[in-house]
Amino acid sequence: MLRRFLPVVILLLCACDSIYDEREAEPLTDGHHFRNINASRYTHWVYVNLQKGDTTSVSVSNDLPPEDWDIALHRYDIKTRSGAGMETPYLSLDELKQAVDEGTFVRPAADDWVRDVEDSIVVDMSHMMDGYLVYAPSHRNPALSHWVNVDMRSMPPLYTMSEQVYLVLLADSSCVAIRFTGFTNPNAYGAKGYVSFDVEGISW
Amino acid sequence: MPMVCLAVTEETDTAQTMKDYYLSTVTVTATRTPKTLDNTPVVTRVVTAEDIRKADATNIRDVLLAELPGVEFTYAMNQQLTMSMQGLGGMAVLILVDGERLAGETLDNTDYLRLNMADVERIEIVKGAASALYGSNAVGAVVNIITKSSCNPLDVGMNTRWGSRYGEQRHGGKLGIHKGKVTSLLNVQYDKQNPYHVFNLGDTAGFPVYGNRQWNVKEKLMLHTPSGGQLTARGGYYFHERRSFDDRQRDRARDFSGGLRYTRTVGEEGAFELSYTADRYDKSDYYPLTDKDYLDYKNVQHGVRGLLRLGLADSLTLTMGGDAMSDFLMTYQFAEGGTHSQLTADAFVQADWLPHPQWDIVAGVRTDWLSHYGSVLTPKLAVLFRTGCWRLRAGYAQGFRAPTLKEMYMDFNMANIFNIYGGGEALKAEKSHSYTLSGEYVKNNFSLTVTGLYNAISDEITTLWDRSLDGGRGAMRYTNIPGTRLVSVEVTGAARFDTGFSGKVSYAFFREFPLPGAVNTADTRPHALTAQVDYKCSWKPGQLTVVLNGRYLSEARFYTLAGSDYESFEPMTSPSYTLWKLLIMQTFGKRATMTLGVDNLWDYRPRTYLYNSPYTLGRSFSLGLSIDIL
Repeated sequence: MLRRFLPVVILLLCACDSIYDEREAEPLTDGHHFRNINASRYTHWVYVNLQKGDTTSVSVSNDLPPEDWDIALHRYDIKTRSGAGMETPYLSLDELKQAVDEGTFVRPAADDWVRDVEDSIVVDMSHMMDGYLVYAPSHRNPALSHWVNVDMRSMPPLYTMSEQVYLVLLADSSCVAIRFTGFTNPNAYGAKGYVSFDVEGISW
Repeated sequence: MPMVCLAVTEETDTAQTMKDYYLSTVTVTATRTPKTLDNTPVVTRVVTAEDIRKADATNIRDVLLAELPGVEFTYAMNQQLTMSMQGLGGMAVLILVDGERLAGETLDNTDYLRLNMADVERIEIVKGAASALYGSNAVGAVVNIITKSSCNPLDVGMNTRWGSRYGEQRHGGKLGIHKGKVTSLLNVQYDKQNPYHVFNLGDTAGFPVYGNRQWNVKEKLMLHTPSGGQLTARGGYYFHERRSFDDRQRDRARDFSGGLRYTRTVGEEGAFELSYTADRYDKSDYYPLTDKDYLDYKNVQHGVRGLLRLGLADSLTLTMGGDAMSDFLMTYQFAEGGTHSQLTADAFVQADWLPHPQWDIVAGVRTDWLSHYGSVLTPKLAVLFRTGCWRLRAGYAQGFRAPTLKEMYMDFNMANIFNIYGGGEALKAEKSHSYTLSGEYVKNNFSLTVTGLYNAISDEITTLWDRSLDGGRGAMRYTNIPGTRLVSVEVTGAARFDTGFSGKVSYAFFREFPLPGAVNTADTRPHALTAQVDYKCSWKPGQLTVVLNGRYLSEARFYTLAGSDYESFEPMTSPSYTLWKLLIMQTFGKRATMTLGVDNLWDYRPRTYLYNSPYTLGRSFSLGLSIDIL
């Protein structure tokens, strides 16, 4: 009986792996869905070209952006090339597009946009246990940077994502709507600082 | 190990006096030899099935909190449940199920929610080191959960429990068969709790507490062989899911376990045992939006054991045996989700000598070999002296905790803040020298036990900040620190009266004596108390049982790491609190029992929810129903 029983148990224990999904390297984008952009380094801005679907990582200390970019990500901080973005009251891209089609959401006036401001971003977390963080001056958009709330009252922090759709003014004065869908990378054991979002061009 | 049958429980539960209880309750953990509480030379606390019922317990946490004053469960990093037992962390307390180790850990603690109480016959707790019988991790105590077997021809039952405040539910069922030489018991339990917010005084934002749900399925099949032996096969499946209000990711855990054990008697006093056990514990991240479930932790253990107990003479019993185990670990905390594995093997021998009717002396020694560490030798000695109603016990034992694979090989980036590295093969095993002294007085309806425990721990394994790592940025690394000395005293008094009243009070005192130059870092409360009073009476519908139990934990003052040098300490204080529970259990005939519960009777709410506060929102109510169909 022992000879029959042992192989069955060992086989069952090994077979358990099949109930899980395989980690697969996903393409960065299909044009509408951006997945797991690695913005986890505190020391770097990641510049994203929404049209071409590519990213460029640049050190905060030597911040020379690439030629074509639309938004840049630094952990959960966001800045824009045009210098303008805003939060909408809509909870899905479809809701926003329907409101635009029905004329209940018109193109924001110049004053409605929230402008990027000269601010500071955390570039070194290694002293957090000492009670201080190291910041560096940088631009960021206050409205777009609200897409995830990081509650540092406990360790690890508690993350709460906004469900809102955001609008970004591009350099050519066109608009895109962005709805953020994730801040962790399932393919990297749930590591934080990986940004996922859906994007849609909006025209009036 | 002999077949432990439900009948034992019935016997102990209906014991009329405390003396009967001590004479009839059998324990196996302290010496691996069945001995009554009255006769065991090692101080052992037994929690019976009746105690578990009176605690209305869902899992091991509920039972230990109700029964042991020196136990505290707290929330560590990311609300992971950790246990402390009189100054010792969960990693220093070895938890066994039917004498077998469990795979998997989180922050060096067992998954306590996995250990449900649906099929538990009794729990045996041996305080003090016990590595001479159980090897690594038995530094401070052993908790052995003994599971039930069915003794009725057909045993079918269902139970349900609903809580009022946290969305608590517990539902279970059992199917037991005992026919001829075959005994089978299948237990299924589901329990859950919703996420909720706690609010510090004056705070409106609230702090979210995770919700969870568990499935537990266990089967135990026993067969008496024609050769006079007994074959026990067991299998189990456990599923756990934890979620918060933001339901984008859920933490899951699963356990798959199985085992086979053959036992038979050798002569009149002896026994032979051969067993195989397999246990796999997984952790995964589940993403509801994409329905993807990614494995990120897997611990697989396979073990075999042989044990022989021989009665060499009327006064001498020799127990000897050995284990071999393979331990495989894959975790996201290794570089790139890598794997490590190790082999362990051990041999042990123990002599149980009764030189005089009043004396019982147990001495043993064990040697363990770990492929990534080396060898460890641990001895033990326990003496019992009986006179009249008194039992005096003294013992010395060594314990050790070998560095785990995680502690040796961790290579983990902590949210891009700092790295945590394992200590490699330079890590030494934690060692303990524990001394116990106990006096017990049992007469008719009363018992009083006083136990003192001194535990000197050296080469404690912990994480320390190392400035030399990561190019001078610094990082955490597992390393050995000198250790500490712990003293505890526990006093337990119990009484049973013919009038239907019974009661039990346990008080625990704890103090840490740090080594010269060190500070007190143990957050264990210096004073703690558990109490239980219950009343039973029979009336027309059946038996009514009213149980009031509670616990008091005093304020704790200790030091915790602070400052930029990671070497200085700052004082911390944990406030005292008391929690009480009232249970009213009414049986209807012989098959149905209804239980009404009031938890947190005095509506206690912490002003500030610390990691070691009870995460209660105040008084809550519960209603339970269990029916034995056949």
